[in-house]
Amino acid sequence: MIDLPSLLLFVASIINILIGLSIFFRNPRSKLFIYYLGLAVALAIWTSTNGLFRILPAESLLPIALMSYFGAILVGMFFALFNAEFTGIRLLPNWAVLAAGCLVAVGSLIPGVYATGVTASRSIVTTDGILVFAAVLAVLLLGGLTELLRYIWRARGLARRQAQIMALGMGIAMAMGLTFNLVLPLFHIYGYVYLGPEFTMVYLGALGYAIIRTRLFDLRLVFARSATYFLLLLSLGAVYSTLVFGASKIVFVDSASSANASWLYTLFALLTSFSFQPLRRFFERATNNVFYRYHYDSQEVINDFSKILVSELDLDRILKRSLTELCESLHIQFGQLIIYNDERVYRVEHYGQLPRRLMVAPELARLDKPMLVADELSGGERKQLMENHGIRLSMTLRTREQFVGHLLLGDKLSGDIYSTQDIDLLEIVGKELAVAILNAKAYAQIQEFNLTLQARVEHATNRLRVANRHLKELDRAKDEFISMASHQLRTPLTTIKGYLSMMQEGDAGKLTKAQQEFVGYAFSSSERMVNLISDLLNVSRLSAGRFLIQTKPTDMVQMIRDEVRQLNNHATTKGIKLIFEPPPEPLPPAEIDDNKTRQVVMNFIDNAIYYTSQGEVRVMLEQSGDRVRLEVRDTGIGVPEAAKKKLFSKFFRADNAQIVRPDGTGLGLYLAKRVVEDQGGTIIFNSVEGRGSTFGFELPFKPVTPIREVAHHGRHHHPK
Amino acid sequence: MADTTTPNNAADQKTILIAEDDPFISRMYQIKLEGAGYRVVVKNNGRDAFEAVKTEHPNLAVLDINMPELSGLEVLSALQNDNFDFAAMPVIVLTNSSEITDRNTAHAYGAEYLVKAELTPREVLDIIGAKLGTAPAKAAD
Repeated sequence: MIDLPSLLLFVASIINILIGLSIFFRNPRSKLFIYYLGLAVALAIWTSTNGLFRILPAESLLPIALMSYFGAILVGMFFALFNAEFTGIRLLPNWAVLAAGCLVAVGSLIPGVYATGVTASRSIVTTDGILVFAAVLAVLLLGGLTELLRYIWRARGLARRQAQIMALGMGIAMAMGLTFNLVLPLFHIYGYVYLGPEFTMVYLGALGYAIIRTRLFDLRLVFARSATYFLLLLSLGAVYSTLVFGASKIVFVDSASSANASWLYTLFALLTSFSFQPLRRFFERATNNVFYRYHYDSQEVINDFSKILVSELDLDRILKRSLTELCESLHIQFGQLIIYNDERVYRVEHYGQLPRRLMVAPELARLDKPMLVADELSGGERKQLMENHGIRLSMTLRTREQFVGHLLLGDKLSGDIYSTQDIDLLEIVGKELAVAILNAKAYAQIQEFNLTLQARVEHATNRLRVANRHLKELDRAKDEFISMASHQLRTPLTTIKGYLSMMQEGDAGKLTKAQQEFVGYAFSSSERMVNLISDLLNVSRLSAGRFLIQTKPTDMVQMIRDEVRQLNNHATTKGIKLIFEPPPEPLPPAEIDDNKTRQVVMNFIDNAIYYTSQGEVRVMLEQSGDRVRLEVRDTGIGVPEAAKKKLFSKFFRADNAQIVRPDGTGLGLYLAKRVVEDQGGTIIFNSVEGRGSTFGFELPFKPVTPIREVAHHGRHHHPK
Repeated sequence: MADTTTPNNAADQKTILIAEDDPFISRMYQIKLEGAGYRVVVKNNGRDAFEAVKTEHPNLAVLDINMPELSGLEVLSALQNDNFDFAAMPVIVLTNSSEITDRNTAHAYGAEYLVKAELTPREVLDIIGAKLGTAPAKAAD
């Protein structure tokens, strides 16, 4: 008679076969899959014989019982083989497993080796041989189990997850088997024995799932929640039963008042229900600490990440902080960011302990997919590459238009596989990071550009500095040359001028009128040359800082009279009137540099004569308070408006002056200004082009400041 | 021009020492000064000029600066070392160097400092006349 329990067992047996076959045909040539199928068939045999044992009449049960032993030993054998194959750990040599398994299996088919019969109450009458059977089965099961646990301890990534799922399936199957076939019978509850074998489906299913799927679900939630409720029930049950037991012992020792008992139970029930929530929370937290040590909140990580990206502008800091944040939040041992620029590696940032080998550019180029998870690759070059470098996950960072770089991540600290949560998070964060890196890169490049620019400017400035120094040296050399040349020029000039003057004076006999005239011209020219040389020397002295004013009391009227007399010749030959208007009252002597001031006066008058073709040159000297004032007025070409500003600068010559007198040096007025101002005086100048000019100066009779100081402070000292 | 042509008699004839290495220049001054009735002693180097000061006892010395053996300024220094009485012999440093330091050195010895190129021989003669307190010679004009 087929009852519900036996039906469930047959169904389980068939499902086991089906699971076994469907998984097996995915990879029929693999040893692992063959062992898997063997395990499925053995389990099917065991479950179906359990079913048959319930429904067949007692007298025909011995073969069924023996078949059940047969199935059981095969389960042990294939379990050991499968685990050895899967883990690669071989605690028991394959040949030993096979030999022992087959031997014991064959033994189980022979009646009388392990069992001699079945009683009417469906108890199996066993022999001493059953001890051997049990021992072999135990060794096989324990061996396989040990291998699996050791593997879980060692394995990383996908393999670990696979093993965890297998262990879970096995754990559930074993726990249920133990509960229904061992624990409950201990309390004389035999009615649920048939439920134990049903859970072989769970084990087989978990095993199959683990070896064929790649992205496996996270078991932690299952473990954590079942552990919470298991502990909760255990403690509540313990407390409740202890209370009830204790109370009934103490309270109801003599009288069994059921009325009393009912309120007590109600009280306990209330206590229990109130303690449920806090207890649950406590266990949840405790189990979370165990199972979710590496747990994180995606939203929090994304927020922290965004904060970093917003607050940092410096590329190196962005790389460092974001990589650290990522690796610390996801509990990753090692991380690497490789940023490219123009198809070349631009920056590299590391987190954690570096793997023995780092990827080089051509290897990185092969990781060209947006996201590669080594555990999800079924094999091939990329998986090999990643595993050789300890990389579990590779992500390409890119914006919509531009490739930015690679993010490479190593093992997680837990050894777990990268979960869907991790991958979703990485995808979000990766996009933000790519944009931020691109921005920071642009910023860094601008800064680098700034630095190069600065360096270039500095370089250019240095070159200018050197050039400037060189120019200054050249200028000094020029001044020295001028000084030397001028001195040398003066010697022959002394002779020329001296002898010409002596001829004029009749030292060589009386001259004819024409001779007198010609010698006069020659003499004037030699005089001019002497003055030019003096100017040149003064300018070179100015540059060399050796231009000193040396004063002595000077009769200004006499000085100007001398100069006018000397230049009168020149004026007369040009047909110009040279008029000197001396002051009405005699002047006190002026404390001035006689030589230099004389040269200034001569220069003014000489210029006036030169640049005047008709009319007159009027020289006026007068006292003006504590100053002496000289003006030289002409009716000459005048100074063009544009030239006025620069008229007193070194070597400057106005255009119209150059036409009239191409040989001028442009030094006379420059020196005049210096001489006058260094003596605390001021230059007088006004002019109308084409109408005439007035040049002159005002000088204090006594130096306003000690002359030495004026000389030292140089040209910028203008006491008023 | 020979001494004999000078109007002054030998007793009040004043002696001028000219130390100048350029013969054209020394001759130029010599003519002008002798024309004015001075006795002129020309030396073309500093050492000879130094000796001449002692042997010839000139009334006035005209010294160039840049000369062989001793410069004009070194002659002054050597004279000072000999405790020479500069008051007895006015000195004119007549040179084409117009270095301030040279000028200051000359002034330190109480000497007049003049730039050759800026003066005609006549002007030099006038200055010498003024120094010696003699009336300008009439010969030239």
